[in-house]
Amino acid sequence: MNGPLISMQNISICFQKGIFRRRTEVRAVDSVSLDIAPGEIVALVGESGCGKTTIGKALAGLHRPTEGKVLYQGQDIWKLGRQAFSEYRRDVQLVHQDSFAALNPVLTIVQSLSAPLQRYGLVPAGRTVRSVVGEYLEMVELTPADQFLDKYPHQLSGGQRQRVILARALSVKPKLIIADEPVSMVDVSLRLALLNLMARMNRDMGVAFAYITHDLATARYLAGKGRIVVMYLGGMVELGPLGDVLERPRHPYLQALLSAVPVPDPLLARARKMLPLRSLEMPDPTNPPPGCRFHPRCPYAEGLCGETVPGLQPEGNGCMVACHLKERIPLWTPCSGVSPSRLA
Amino acid sequence: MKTSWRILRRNPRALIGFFILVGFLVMATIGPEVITLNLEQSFADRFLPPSGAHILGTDYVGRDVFAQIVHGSRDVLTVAALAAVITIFIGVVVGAVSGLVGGVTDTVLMMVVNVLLTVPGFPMMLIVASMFRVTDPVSYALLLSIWSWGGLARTVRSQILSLKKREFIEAARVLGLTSGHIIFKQLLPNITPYLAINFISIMRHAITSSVGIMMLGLVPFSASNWGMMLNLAVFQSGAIYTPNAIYYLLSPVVAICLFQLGGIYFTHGLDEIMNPRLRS
Amino acid sequence: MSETKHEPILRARDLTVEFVLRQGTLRAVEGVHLDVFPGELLAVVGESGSGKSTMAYGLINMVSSPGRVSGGQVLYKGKDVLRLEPEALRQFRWKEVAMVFQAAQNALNPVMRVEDQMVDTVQDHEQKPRAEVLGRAAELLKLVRLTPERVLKAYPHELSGGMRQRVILALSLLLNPRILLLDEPTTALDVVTQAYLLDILLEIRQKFGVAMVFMTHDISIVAKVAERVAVMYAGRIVESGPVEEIFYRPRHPYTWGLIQAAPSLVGDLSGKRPVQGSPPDLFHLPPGCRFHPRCAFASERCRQAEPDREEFSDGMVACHHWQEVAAVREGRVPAPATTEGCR
Repeated sequence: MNGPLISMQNISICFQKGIFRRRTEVRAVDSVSLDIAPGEIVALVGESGCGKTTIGKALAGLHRPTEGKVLYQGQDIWKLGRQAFSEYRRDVQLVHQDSFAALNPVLTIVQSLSAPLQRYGLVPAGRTVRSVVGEYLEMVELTPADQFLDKYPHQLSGGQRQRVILARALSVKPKLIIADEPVSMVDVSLRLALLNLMARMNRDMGVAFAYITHDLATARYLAGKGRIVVMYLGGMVELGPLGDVLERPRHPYLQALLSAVPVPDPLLARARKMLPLRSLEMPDPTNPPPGCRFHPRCPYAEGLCGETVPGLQPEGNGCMVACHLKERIPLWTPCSGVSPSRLA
Repeated sequence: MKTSWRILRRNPRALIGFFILVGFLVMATIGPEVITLNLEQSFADRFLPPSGAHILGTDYVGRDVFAQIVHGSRDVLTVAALAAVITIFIGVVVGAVSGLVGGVTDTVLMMVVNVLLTVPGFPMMLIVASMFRVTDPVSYALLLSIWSWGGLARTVRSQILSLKKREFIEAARVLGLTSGHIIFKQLLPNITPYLAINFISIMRHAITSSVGIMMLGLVPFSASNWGMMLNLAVFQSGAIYTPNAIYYLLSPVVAICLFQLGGIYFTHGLDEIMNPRLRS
Repeated sequence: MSETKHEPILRARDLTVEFVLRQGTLRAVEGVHLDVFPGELLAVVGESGSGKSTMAYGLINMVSSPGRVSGGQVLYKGKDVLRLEPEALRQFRWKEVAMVFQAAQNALNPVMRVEDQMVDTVQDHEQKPRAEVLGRAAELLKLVRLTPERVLKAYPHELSGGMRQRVILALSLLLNPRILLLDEPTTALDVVTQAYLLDILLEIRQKFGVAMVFMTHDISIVAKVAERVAVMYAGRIVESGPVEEIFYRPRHPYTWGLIQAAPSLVGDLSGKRPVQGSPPDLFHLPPGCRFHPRCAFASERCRQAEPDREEFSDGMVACHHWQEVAAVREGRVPAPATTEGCR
């Protein structure tokens, strides 16, 4: 299959809040374009309010974009016929952050997982639904499966529930899984186990992943060989192959983020200096700043930054940055503590 | 089944309630076949105190009170159960449609519900009962339900609204499950615990209302009905002036109170039976 | 860091907290020994079921029903906090030891302005004129990088979550406590605010000399700010020591597991692996050492007996095989096969 698996073209998503005269508009996503190739892992990184969850839901067909198109295998998902839409629904799955809320609390595990299997007729003749469900549970390392089939969601731990949800997504044989903060509600010591599972699903079954998170460290772990897209207040600010982008971050927001991420190494952690920002507060999304959305907090901001919105410019090697001053911003190495006031 | 029994055993009040309700069920189903109702009048035997022959004494014309209670229970409980079924049906349909469809339909339906809730139910039932002749349990149940489904519709609607936004419903949509499946296999099972508990509550209210209406003589379709017993006792037989008649007077009252008690106690355990999360 | 050993200002010995529930009795905290030295920043690291929050409540005798402190003592300036008279306990709380709760952003009274809450809090303990209280409040708000003019007159809902968190921090310092307990203070914050908050904590410590007990589930956070670290698992402290010893020379397999399981932004990822198994079920704890079902070093001895505390000059560890752990870590001995499956 040529071309990307799924493609967002200049997507903007606006929400209306309030009624009648007090109607305010929130641009949760602003002019985002993103392609995901089959079998690829893309990390979508940003803090809460940056629009990454909304993008995830738009990819899953849960939010209709106010502007722009979402193309699945070349076709606009909102214009698909019934049959084609059903296929799209099957191919693109969603894993939520809250594993407890994502499972029906009054159904047992086997009941929850039977539903999609029966919907798509995925139980081969001669086998019971129970045994097929059991097989998927074993695939996500919930062994022995019998122990889990008749349990209710509240009887499992967070990590186990998340595995059940991955099994449910796998059971329809998807091509893309959108994972929205899948490990943030799981104990830190168990996160890598889930990430390893997802990596295995990607490697062995060719499932593409859109990994949405605020945690750069886990993004690096899972999408190390994939791409990263950094979002701020609804817009993309930097993207490219993850290794390259993290090694040479050009956008000040990404630099600030990288310098603030905690590192599990005392000597290293103490030597690191944060990129000082002009303000700690995220702007009100209903009233975004003019020009570059990051400029009120940016230590390098100049006049132009408050007037025009910077577009994404290519940097070579598949990297792109949205910053007027990208040529002049020094590389902030957290350990060197170069003062940001000195621009080249 | 086994877990339900275990839960009941651990909860003494729920167990008592369960047995009381089962007792009434037996009384209503088999009772009238086992105990014969002798409607012969025997003035000499009026207002006899309880004895071996008459467990609860006799009424104002010498008829056995206990037999009347047993025979009356069938009508009372049938009407109450029917009323509960109808109320729940209307309430769920209206609430679910309102919650799922939303928009104008929702607004209109909720306006109807609001009107219904502000009009006092019992007086309305009295008015309607006095205007239309009610002759059988089904129409009586209908009368009792018409004014009582409002509150249920509202709560069902709000439960649906909050469930609709839950991630597992979103997941069901992304999995491509059909709307029919989502409504009946995902949403409704979350509401049934609430409905089951409400069933018994509605029955209790229906009994009070139905007995009350009958006591006022508005629906005289069966003499041995508890409500009619009270009507005859209070208004027509001078039982309130005769000390010996206390057993006749209080028997229907105690029967009603006992049923209410059984219902209340049982619902305490029912919540745990129906909601897997409350079990240990 | 100074090496002189002061006397600890808070000493918990054998602290045990139970919860009496329908399903059985749960020991959320068992036999915990904890020392807090003046002016230090002690991090308590524990994941779900570790009991760290319950322990914090136990330290200030604030365990509420159905939980109760069922054993041990918490000595503060010679007196046992668990046996204080109600009035003395009230004075102790907030004045001597203040606590910033988890998700503290909702701990502010929504119908009171910030300045009124500050004044209220102080005047409940000491008779101080309003102007003086507000002066100190403004000073503290500046320390946590908030503008007093804007924040004092505001209602809580007018401030963002991160701002509320810092207001609570300022509130906790109003009476100049000797110890500050912080239960997951950075959980709901974004990464940048989190990093700033940690810096602010260091500044506060430097300026006021207040000791801090910082409870968290994420060991990566403590590397930057902690001086000493205590690791909790299933209600017990399994290891404690200076931060560098904990990170570079961990003695307990769980501590080592936590460090290996923490994904990092820098460095080699090949040594990273998750901890095997599932979080402990506090109602059905395994016999012997509570960690043994998930431990690669587990032996028959671990199944039979809970390990004793092994004390060192700068810390402790509770593990039968701590010497083996050190040997494997240093490469003297090959690593044991890891335990199977996910239970």
